[in-house]
Amino acid sequence: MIENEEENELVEENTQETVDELEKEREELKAEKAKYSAMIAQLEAEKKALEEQARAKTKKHAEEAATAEPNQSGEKGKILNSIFITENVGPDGAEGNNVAFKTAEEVSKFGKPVQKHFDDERIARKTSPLSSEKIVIEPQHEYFTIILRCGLHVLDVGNGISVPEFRKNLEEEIEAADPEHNKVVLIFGGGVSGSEWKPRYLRNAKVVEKTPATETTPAVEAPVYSGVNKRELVASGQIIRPLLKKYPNIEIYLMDGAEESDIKKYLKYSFLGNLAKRVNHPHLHYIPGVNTVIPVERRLEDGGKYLTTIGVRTNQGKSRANTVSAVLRAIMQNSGPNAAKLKFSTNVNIEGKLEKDHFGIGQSSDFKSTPIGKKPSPTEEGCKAFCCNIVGNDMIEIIQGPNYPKMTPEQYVEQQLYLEVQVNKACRDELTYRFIKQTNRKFELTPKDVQKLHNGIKRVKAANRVLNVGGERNGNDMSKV
Amino acid sequence: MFMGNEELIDRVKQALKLAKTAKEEKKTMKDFWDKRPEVDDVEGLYGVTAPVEPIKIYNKMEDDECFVWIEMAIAVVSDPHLAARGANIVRFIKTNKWTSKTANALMVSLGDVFNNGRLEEHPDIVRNQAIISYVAEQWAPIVLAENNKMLMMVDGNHDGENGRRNADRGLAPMEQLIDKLMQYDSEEGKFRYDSVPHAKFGAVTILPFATPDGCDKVPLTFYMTHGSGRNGNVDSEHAKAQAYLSQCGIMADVELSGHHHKNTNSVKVQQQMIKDENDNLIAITDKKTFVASESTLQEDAEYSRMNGFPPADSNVNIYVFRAKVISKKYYSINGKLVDKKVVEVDRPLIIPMFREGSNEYTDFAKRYMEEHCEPDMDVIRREIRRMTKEEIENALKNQRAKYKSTKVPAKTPTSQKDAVIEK
Repeated sequence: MIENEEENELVEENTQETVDELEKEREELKAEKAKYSAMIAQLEAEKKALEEQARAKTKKHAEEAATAEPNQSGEKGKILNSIFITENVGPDGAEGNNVAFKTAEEVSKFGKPVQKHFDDERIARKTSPLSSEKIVIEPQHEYFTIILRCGLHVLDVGNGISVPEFRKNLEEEIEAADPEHNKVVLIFGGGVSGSEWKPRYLRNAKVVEKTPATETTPAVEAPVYSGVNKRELVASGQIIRPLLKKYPNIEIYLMDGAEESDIKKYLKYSFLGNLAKRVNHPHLHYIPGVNTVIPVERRLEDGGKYLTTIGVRTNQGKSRANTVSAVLRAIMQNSGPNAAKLKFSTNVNIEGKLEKDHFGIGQSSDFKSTPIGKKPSPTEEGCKAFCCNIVGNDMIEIIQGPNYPKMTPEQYVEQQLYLEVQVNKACRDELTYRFIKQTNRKFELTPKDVQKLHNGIKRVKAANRVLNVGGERNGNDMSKV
Repeated sequence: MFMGNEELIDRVKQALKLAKTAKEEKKTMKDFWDKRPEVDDVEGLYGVTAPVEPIKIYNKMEDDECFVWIEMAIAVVSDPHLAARGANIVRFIKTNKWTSKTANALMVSLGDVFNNGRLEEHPDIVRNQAIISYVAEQWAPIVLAENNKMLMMVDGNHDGENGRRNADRGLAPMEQLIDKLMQYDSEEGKFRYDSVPHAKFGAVTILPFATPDGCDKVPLTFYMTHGSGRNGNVDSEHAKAQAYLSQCGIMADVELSGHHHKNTNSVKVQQQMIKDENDNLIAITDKKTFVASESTLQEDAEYSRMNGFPPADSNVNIYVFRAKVISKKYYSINGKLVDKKVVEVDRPLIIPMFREGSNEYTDFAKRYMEEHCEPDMDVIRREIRRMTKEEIENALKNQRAKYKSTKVPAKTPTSQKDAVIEK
């Protein structure tokens, strides 16, 4: 019993200790909990405050965006906008801006669109209309050469041309086509203006020193950016005018492509139309639209004429197809059918014959059009000039090349040399024939006789072997036989 | 079906009669063999199928017997499908005539000369014989010309042996054709050259062109094959050609194929390494390969009718190659872009031989044939026969030097090998 009492006392003491300890721990935990809950409450309060700040910022941004003009975030935007407007349209302001360039006040004055707007726009889009411009080939012209160029991307930094090199190659091709004796027509099938006139290229343009600093004035820096105005100056002053001056007999046709269509859409400005007005030459023609059929008239000496048609489709600048079948599909999707006899599709990635009477013309710039994220591949330098001979109504013989391959003086010499070689061979053959005939006539031998002789000689030799005639060679003394 | 040439019509009519009777009597292959009609040259008629050979390489750079030209015109004949529905034999004959009459012309045959198919469709074992002898008759003057004018003959899937439908047929019409061609050269009793340029699958020919000053030779590498597959075009054939040629380490300048009955062509750009004599890399340049798929001489085919395709654009193309001085860009390993002038064979001018809708030559083809006309050797030989022995010997003494002149060129650019690249 006593042991049990002692044990009970011990147990009671032990339990009391544990209880005390547990209570202590509980209090400590409570204190910690209180502490952490305070921290949590503080963090939550901070989070709420941050969220409210963010909401306030976006609200502020939205209000600013609604009220402010486009492409502006403070002063930088204002300066860039002024540069963009002066480079592309004029210092007085943008004429006929797109919705993105309009302020909220101007947009609020818009009326609602009506079915008529849609119908008029729809009717204005025609597939392969017959062009009012006509190509006439006079009787004194021997052949008719078409030279096509597209995808120049003048003054584009990413994928453009070097103007002197481009002109040099083009002039070589025009001279090979012989504009004095043949009718030469040069068609620029879109892609002349380039695409780096858009605002994002100005924003991301590299800045270079335009004029160095002097003692009194600081250095002037400028972005490497060319708007539509500068591009027009280069195209007219460095490409079109010099060609017309150097080759007064050729005719040049300008056709819109995907890039020119972009300019029309966003800036309401016809790049090539204004270029043609600026140059103002009777041999320079502008054909609006991206899919057209040009009638061709071949006049004959007796007063008759042959008629045929040439079709040009240009709006494939956004197609990245790399095989013949894909290119043909893209052409049909982008431009639709073309009812001409001889068809050309410009700004495609395949340069050559696509199908019967249908040729693809590639870009003159460094790279083909490639999908975003892929490595660009260099353009193919195939055939961009075609020599045609119109022999009937809708009957054209086409050489893939600028002209018929006329004989050069070296080739003429080579031909005479070949003739001499053949004549010499014939002379030698004749001499050998006469020699053989003479020798045969002496002995009156024919080939059959020769064969008989050979057979006879064989028989004699065989017989001699049996009789061992001439056996001295074997060491036998036949003199005693 | 056939236009012109009554002899061929008679021969084929006889062959068809024999084939018809044979077909009506018995339908199985074995019975046909047992009761086959009597035909000349039975030996070698039933050839043995051969496995597809690897690509053959013919290097004509060291062939001193042929006259080397600055400019050469190559007439490419593909898929004539003789004795098939819609085959235009007149164009076939006129192409051979054009090639033999033009001095600097060569011919390439890209296969499907015959029209072998399944036995039920075409009883061609008998008909083949008539066509084989006819084609040999047509091609003999081209192959046996002074300058061998047949550049290459490649087998097609309808020429027996190639193609899965003919694998078990035991036909060898192209080999029989070559045997017949060799019989024409009966004077010497053997063929003038070592072999007819023939390949079963594909061949690479390195053809020499003369530089404009005549002092050097410039190579042009051709790869010729028939083609394979359905609904293919120039791009699929180019991809297959690259797969084969990369194994040989060859980069061809021109790739020709047929089979698809569609005429398409383009230029493909590849990177080419330039090495020196010790195989050290000096520079890299863009190499342009001209790739072409030729159309057929068969205008209205059963295959196209069955599938609703329009009639094929049938024509023969003449590729005119000329050696010229060209400025070429080299990318040296030091990062410099160097512009050098080299003598190379430029991309070809392509002239169509026939006018659309008729069998007449185009004005371009006619004019080319007349300007580069082969000298009439019969007239020349007749005149020489009238001359005395002394006159002939004097004429030989006064001959000028051959095309390989001994003078050293002044400052003319030489071939690509000798181009010096800045280091």
